[in-house]
Amino acid sequence: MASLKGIDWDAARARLGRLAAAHEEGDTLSPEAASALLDERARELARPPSPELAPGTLREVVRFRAAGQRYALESRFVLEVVRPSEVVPLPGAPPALRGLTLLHGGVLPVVELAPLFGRAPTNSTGPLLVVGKDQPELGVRTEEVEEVTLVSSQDLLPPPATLADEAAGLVFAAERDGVLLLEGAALLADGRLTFDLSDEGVV
Amino acid sequence: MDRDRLAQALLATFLEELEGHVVSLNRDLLALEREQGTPRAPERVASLLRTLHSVKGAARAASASLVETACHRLEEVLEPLRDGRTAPPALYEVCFAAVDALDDAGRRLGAKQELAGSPLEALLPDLERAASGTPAAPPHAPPPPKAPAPQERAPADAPLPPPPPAAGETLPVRVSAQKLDALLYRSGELRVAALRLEGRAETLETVREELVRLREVVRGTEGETALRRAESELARVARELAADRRTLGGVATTVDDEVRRARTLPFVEGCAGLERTARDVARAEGLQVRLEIHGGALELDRSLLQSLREPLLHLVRNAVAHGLETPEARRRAGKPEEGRVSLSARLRGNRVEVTVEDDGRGLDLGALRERARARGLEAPDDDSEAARLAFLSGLSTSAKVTEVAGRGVGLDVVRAEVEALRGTVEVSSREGQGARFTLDVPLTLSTLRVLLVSAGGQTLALASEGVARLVRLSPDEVREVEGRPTWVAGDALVPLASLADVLGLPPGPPRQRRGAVVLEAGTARAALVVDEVVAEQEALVRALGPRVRRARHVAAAAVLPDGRLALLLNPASLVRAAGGRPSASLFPSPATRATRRRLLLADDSPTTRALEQSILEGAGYDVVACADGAEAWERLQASGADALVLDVEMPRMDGIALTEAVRASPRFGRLPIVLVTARGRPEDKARGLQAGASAYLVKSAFDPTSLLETLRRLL
Repeated sequence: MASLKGIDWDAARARLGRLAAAHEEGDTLSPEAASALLDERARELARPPSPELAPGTLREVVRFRAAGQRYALESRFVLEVVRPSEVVPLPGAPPALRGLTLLHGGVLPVVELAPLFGRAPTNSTGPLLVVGKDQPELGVRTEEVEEVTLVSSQDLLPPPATLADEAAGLVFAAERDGVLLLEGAALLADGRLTFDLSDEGVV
Repeated sequence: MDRDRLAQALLATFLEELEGHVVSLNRDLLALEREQGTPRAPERVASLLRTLHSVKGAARAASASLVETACHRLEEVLEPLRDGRTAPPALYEVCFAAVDALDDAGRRLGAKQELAGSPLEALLPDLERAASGTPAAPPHAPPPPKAPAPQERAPADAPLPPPPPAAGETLPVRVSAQKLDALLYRSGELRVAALRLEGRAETLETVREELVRLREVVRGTEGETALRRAESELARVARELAADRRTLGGVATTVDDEVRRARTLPFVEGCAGLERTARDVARAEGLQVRLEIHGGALELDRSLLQSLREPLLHLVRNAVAHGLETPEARRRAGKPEEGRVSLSARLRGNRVEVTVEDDGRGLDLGALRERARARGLEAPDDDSEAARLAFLSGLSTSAKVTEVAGRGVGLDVVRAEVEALRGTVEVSSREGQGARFTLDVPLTLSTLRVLLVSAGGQTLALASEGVARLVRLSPDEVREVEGRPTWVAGDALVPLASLADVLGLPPGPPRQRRGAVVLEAGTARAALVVDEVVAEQEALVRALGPRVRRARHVAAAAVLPDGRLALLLNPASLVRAAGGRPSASLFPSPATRATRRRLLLADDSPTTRALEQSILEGAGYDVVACADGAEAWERLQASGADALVLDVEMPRMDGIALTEAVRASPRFGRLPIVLVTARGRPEDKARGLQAGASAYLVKSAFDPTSLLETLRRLL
């Protein structure tokens, strides 16, 4: 009984008044503010999902140096690191193809990255990264293979705009200290790393 | 083989089917017996006949003729019951016994046993009698002998009476060819590693010798004992290493052999399908043929068999369609009506000879000659030469173009395919007695005899079979023809080029006489000048892989026994490239020859002496080689020289003493002297230069260019 008497009608009316005012305010969003809000939402929706750079993604990479540039390649594309005893050059080969070497009794083409980036190859004799998906496809000549580390996507920057066009597809990100992260699948699919040295011009 | 497998598969299916049929036969027979005379009986009979018909058909396909006959008889027995007639119990007995016997026959066939002497065979006469007259003549005579039938059944219901002898046998394992190839690569790697170990043992030996020398120096000090200990320890390690190397080498070789063996198949498997082909062609042509395979057990490389399939298929088709006569014609010729085509394989050294022979009419040499002439070709008189015309495109012997045996494209394709295997194909033919094609192919496609040459500082491999000969050319054997160097061979002018030049490698030094390999590709020849012919040996052949689709003048990679890789060159493309090349300087120009310098060379090691002599002569010097300083001094006094190249350590008179003597002589005092030695210490060098040497070269850093460069500077 006492509780019925205890209703503070004034307070209740004041609260209703505030709610009504707030409701009215919400309806009267200025056109600019509304369109800005909608634009913001549209942008949010239109943004492509970017798992490549999703925060917190860790990937394991092999870091190496070739022709003075430091690179990193995801370790799932690196099958082995070997030091070949010899690399036999092929007549008429382009600068990217250093020659052939033997790996487990089979022939492995040895390639240089620098020509793909529009630079001259150096005559380094460092270890080869044996690159491939399921089987060895290419031996990438390096000056030095540095380490295998984990890279967090949060630490990555977009690749530099100064990169030569023909190399843009090969790099998906860069690190603050200038290391270029190579896209393994693009590297393996690059037409410049499949060679057809015909007899033309020689016969 | 194919057929056997097919038959095996068919039999397995048949036996599976038979089990079900036996069940339904029993069921229907029982029902019929119960319901005979009722309207449902004909339906049962129809069902029984349907089932028997299926069994009969399947039995025929599986070549189980006894089963087929038995079913046929049973059908005859049951057929009269179709119209609702009743049958005496004896007839049912026979039928049940027959079904049991069928069941038994199925088990026997499954256990690969003959049906001769089986209950089914024993039952056939009874079935026949029952079929001939429904009122069976011996009304109750048959049942007693049928008594064994239920007994037959009893053991069948117990486990299986004839258990296949599968106990102690190991199960065969299916391994893909690719896996075996991968295994072969790995075992090759193992062999190479074992070979390298040999080199390591030699290194250890050198170290040990070094220790011995060192111990001489410290003789009498504390170090001597320590060194002696180290020395014996080293000797022990070397011994153990040598033993391990032998073991490893042996195992590696055995593994390699075993893997290679695992990759082989019997020849007869490579002939799978040929018998069927022969039969089909014969049937289409109204001929009769029997295909024989000899040497079917010969184990051959799988890839070789695969590559031989097409050529053999062509040859068998040809032999039947063009070789064999009609049965009638054969009879007239006094031959059996059935023609014979025989395939045989045998080993000849490291090659395989495969022949395809028929006993037909033989090649029509007259027609071949005619066609050759019609196409403006020479028609050889010699029969064996004429037979070879069959390999030319468009000279098929058969006038009629048949559906099966190609349209005159067969034999030239066969030859191309066999040559791609680095093989040859020959034909011989006797009129009215048949033709014989002989294919000669290397035993394995994965190894090859190669000639190793060096050009432009690179070692290169050439398939030995593509090299016609090796020659040494002097300038007067080479002429310029239309601005191109040409070798005047005895019978022809052969284009000449430098291999280094063709391959775009740096040229070797011009020499007085040049070694050259004469390559042959079809009818074309070319001589390619090389720096050196290194060796001839066996090599593993490896494809360049998917990444290198085509390579200039390079066919594949050759893996040499020491594990090194050499490019295997393509003779055909080299021959094409060699013609049409402007002249390169293969020989020293006449001007340099006119001023040939005379060098006096002294070294007590015959090997080093020969090496240096060849380098110096190669560079265009006249060389007088001497075994020691004293001899060199005499020769110098006798005939003079333009410069001296001397070893330091030599018996009788060493290089230092000779240098001092030359410097002291008024006549030769100003001659350039180059000391070449193994002693690389600064004090040795100082001593040599003090004695008056013009240059001092250390052998460990010895390369021909530094010696030649030094001489060029001094002269």
